Amino acid sequence: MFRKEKIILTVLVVIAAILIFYNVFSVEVQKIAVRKQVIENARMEREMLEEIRSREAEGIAEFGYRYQPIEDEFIKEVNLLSEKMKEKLVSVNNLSEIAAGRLEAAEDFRQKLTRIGDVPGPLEAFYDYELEFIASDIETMSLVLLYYNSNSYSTFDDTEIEELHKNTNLLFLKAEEELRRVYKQYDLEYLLEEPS
Amino acid sequence: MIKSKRTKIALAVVYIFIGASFLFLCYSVVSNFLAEKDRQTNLDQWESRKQALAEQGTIDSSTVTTEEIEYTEEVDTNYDMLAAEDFFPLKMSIPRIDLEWVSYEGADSLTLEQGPGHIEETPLPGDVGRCTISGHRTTYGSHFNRVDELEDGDLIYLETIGGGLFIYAVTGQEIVGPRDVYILEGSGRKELLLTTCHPKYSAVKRLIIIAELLNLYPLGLGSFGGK
Repeated sequence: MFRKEKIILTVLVVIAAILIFYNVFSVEVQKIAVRKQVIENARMEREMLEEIRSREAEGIAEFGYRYQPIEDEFIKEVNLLSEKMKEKLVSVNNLSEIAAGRLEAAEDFRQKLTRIGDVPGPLEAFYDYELEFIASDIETMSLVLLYYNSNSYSTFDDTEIEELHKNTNLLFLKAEEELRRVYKQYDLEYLLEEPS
Repeated sequence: MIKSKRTKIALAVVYIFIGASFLFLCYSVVSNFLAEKDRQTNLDQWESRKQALAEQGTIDSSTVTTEEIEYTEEVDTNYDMLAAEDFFPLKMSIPRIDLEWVSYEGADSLTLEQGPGHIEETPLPGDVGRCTISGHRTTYGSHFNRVDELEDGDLIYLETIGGGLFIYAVTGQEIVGPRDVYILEGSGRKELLLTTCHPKYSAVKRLIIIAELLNLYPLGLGSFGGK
């Protein structure tokens, strides 16, 4: 081989090497840039999500602050009336009065619940369950009241009362479970604790 | 002063009357005191027996335990498998007239001296028909002395030794002749009859208090207790 050809070949090899190197280098640089961009995008996305989440959590907490005292008051009233049922009452009238008080407590709870308004998205399912629960509870208590005022105690068909009562219990538990799930998801479990 | 024979006789008669009245008064007070003491003793014994059974946790499987005060469901008890001993002696209480007695099986004179008695031929508490419990109105502790004060809706509690509870609500009163046994016939309802003499101090008629088995529905919800 002549010297001239050797030089040309060497130059070509060098050019090829430079091109390959450039190619590899530029791809790597691009990859780094893309990776940086992905990280940056993820960070921005996280920040945005956190912002949304914190806005949602704020909404949920706000709802919780309004809802919890209403529920506590209702449960306190129910427990009080349940305790009265354990006493040896004098007459069916006492039972009627207690059942009427219980019905009134349920209706009052529903009224206050619907007045809260602005239900945050994550709590919509809970709110629906809660409304279903209280509607079923009101229906149950109305029938119980009807029973105590019926004067046909041992022949009264109470299968509907029993079914409604079971359904009310299930709906209540379902609503409670959903509320807990949402609170847990947004680290708001402290809202379930009773105020000291 | 010399008393004439006539005066002496008159004085003697007066003293005899005074003495007899005093004895009558004493008899009434003493017999009431003894009856009250017996009533209290019977109630205490019943409570101790109930507590002992509960502590042992060995309540006889045949003892009726289907009902609790929190929620009395309609009794599913199989009455073919149960005997009077599974229910009696039971504690009967009627808060309206402050009545609290231990009631026994049988309505013979000896049983009725202890407390109200269940007429054996009638259904057991909680069963369909007219479960009938008889009691004295004015003697032997006057179990049912004030039952005429009961009004519709007043509650009658029958507690079995096994912790079972039957709550009846008064639905009416009737006064019948001693031979009017038709009153004991069932009407397809789960009823309780309290029978006693009428009017007071007489057995010419019978005063019947009619009551019907009542369900207590729970007002709380499953998890409310944990809140």
